[in-house]
Amino acid sequence: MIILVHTAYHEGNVSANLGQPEYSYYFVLREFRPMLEQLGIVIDIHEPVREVDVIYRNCLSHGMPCVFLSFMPPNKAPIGLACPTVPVFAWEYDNLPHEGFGGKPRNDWRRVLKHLGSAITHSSFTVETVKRMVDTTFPIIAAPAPLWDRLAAKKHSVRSPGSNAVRLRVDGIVIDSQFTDLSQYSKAKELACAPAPLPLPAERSEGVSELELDGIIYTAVFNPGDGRKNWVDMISAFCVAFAYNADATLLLKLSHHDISEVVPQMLECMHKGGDFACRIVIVHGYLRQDDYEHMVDATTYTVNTSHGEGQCLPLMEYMSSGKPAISPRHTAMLDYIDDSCAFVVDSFLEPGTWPHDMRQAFRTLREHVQVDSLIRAYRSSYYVAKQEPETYLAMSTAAVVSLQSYCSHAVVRPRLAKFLNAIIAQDPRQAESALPL
Amino acid sequence: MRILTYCDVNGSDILERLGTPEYSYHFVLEAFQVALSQFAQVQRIDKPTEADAIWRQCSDASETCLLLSFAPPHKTTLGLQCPTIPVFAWEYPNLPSGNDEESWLTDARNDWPQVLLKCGAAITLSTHTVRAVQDSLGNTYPIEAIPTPLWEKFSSYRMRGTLPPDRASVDICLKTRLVDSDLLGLSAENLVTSHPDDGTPSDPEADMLLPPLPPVDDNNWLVELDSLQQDTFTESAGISEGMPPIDTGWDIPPLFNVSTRLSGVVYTAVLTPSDGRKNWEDVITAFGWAFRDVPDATLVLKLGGPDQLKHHHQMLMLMSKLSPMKCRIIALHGYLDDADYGQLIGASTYYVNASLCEGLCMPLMEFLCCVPAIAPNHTSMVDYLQPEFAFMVDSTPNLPTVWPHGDHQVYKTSRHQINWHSLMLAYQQSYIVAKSDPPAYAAMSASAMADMEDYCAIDGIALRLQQFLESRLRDLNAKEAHMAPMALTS
Repeated sequence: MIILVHTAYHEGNVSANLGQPEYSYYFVLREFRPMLEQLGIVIDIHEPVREVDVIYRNCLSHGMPCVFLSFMPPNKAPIGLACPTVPVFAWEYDNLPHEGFGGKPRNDWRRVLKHLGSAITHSSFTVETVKRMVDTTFPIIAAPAPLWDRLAAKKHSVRSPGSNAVRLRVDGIVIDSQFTDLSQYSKAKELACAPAPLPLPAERSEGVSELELDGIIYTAVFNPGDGRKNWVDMISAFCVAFAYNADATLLLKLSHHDISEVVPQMLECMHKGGDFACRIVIVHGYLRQDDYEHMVDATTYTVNTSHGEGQCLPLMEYMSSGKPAISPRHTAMLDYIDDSCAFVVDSFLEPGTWPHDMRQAFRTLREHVQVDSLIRAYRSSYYVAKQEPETYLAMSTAAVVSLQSYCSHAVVRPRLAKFLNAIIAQDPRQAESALPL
Repeated sequence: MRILTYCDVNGSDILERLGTPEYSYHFVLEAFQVALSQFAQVQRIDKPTEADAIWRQCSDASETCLLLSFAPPHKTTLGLQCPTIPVFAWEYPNLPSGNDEESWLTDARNDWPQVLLKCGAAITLSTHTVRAVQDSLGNTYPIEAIPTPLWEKFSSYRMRGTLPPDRASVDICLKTRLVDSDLLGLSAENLVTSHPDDGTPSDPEADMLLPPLPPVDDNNWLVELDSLQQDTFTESAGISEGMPPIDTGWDIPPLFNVSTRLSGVVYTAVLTPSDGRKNWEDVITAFGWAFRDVPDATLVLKLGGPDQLKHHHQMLMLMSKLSPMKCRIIALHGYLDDADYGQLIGASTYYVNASLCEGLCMPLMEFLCCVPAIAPNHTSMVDYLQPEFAFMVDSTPNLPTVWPHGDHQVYKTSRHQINWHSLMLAYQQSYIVAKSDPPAYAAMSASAMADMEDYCAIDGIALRLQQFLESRLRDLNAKEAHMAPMALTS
């Protein structure tokens, strides 16, 4: 099978575009690539309109099965190709974009999907949304990024949480609430400086440095420019929950090309949190693979407070590595978060906008975590880490097992193979040209 | 017994202070005075310092005398000879402490527990506040939750009977500055945001390939109403005649007598948008979302407070983001006289509250004296809301926030987080009840009235006030009797 793949960014330009729309599709494709290579010959496409059908016609003449996977949202998937085109997309809202806003018919995803005839997404939640909005029989599967094997294969040191300090080597910016004068980030100072953001704190470290972490460590990896991530509640509730716990640390690993606006806002949020004893560390920069793994190892819990997730690669990575989560159970998390492997945070629906809708009109619903429930989840998880090591270990094991059934090769590969074969089989041109065995 | 009353606003400047905290204290004072008059001679004073002279006169005539100061503790005058009892509303779970805010350090009264100890007793409006005070000062601190007596105020609207919930429409005529969503030509398409174009391709020829699909219809919740007969009768809540509403776009229309017909189920909220805890955004967005395909649902917002134009623009933005919507939203900016306010109560099917915290919420109580409500069951509302007459909105405590009268820099307290979805569903459920089950609606109204009569009728309030104040006077006498022999022996 020839599998053509395309996405917006490639290895050479993705790091300069971290946080831009569609940047995360690069990372999704990177996780899929080894599996796709097991299923067929993978060819990277840079310009779909020029390249795909040329290869497709060559395949037809050689009787080679061929399919094109567009790792892009449906509004950006090519719609005029002869080759079967399967959009592989992430989505996390209560409905699909169903208006051709901005004068662009393709913004009505229902029409694009109906035309393309099949799709791959990453969660059962979005499979159901698509079937409800396009057609109950619409061919679509949930194929999460199959990253479990890569992480679970590593034997993570299962150590008692908070047992000893670790040192991480960071190449980038580190801002540590313990060494930062947060009074420089009051609302009054922020307003006085507006519209310019407040400067980054002088106490930050830049370049290569060593970060020492100990105690109970909560880690969240996210793109702060993505409004869905809801870091305000994550930070505020942490300050409240651990106002008197000096050995609780929230480690925020940011992925965005420009943090000069968002980091001062985060510091204002911490200032608002008052005199808290806990520690909050912002890390922005590159971690070498082994340092990244050390960060995962050092983590006690991974944290998510978002309004919705298409799948959430960082949460999946940490949980596959045996880290229980603090997370709501909604959207994609319905597939892998429950009480056995996470401190589940309650959430409710509120008005939302489709993220790429320039009007930002209220057309959908998103989830919002209950802050009270988040505070309780922080405190319960801290108690478990400190007082109930057996419970912690059981949750750690349950996290690995839960993610295995969500995103391991053994689960995703047969589902994906069967689906791609069915799409090829239903392409009349390929059925006609198939060479007799 | 002589009772002096004071609050930092009087009848003559009240219109200028619409929507300010002092404005509410003025109304609490006026309602309390009627109750106090049942057992005491009540005298309103313009300055707290006038109290001592009157107290001395009373003292000479062997008449007991107290000052009820209708103000928060940090605005209570201390050091008077006249015993002073603060009457205050408070909607947070803890009390301000003197060093909470930099700007408070210059006035020791910002330490509420100290003020309350010095006064020796206090009256507040809800048991929620009693809890907050006693958490700080112990369970023996003399403080009583006494709501504002409001039951009698709206008796004339009750006597006419509640308007039937399944009426097709109701006519009102109000002297107000009325903004009408139906006239604004609202459209999401004209919204200008900072959101960049995301580069979605557009090619008319290629786009022809896309199959046409019908618009999305997700109004399953309305199915059970389909079989019902449509109502046709129109009630009239008012008597006078005015001009129809006008559209003035980005400006608020001027003040004039406006006549308009409100369709179907009418929801009313009375609030001050600048007071963030009122959470008016949720009131609007949950209504607009719930009824975007329902032409006979109307939301009336009676708005007070400063920054009217800013809030008008904010409302235009919210409504544009919700549009197209078939339901109608009407905003009434500024003061309504008693007759017009009563008309509004008469025209309303339900009152709506989505606040993050309340010290009492007089508008909710006023409306509950006639109609059912949608509201969260937290803070002061726990004292009077019951599921028999309210669609309860889910909420959770411990949402960190700043002191309302502090420096607004650091979280010092908390309020409640409203579950928006629960509010949206409460709108839809209440609409179904009003349209399809008038007996159930009538039972809710009757239940609301019965409970509110128990809760805030004047005779009961007067009795509680009398008992509490007499008990305080006995405490004072005992204290003096205790002090006198001490003075002798020393």
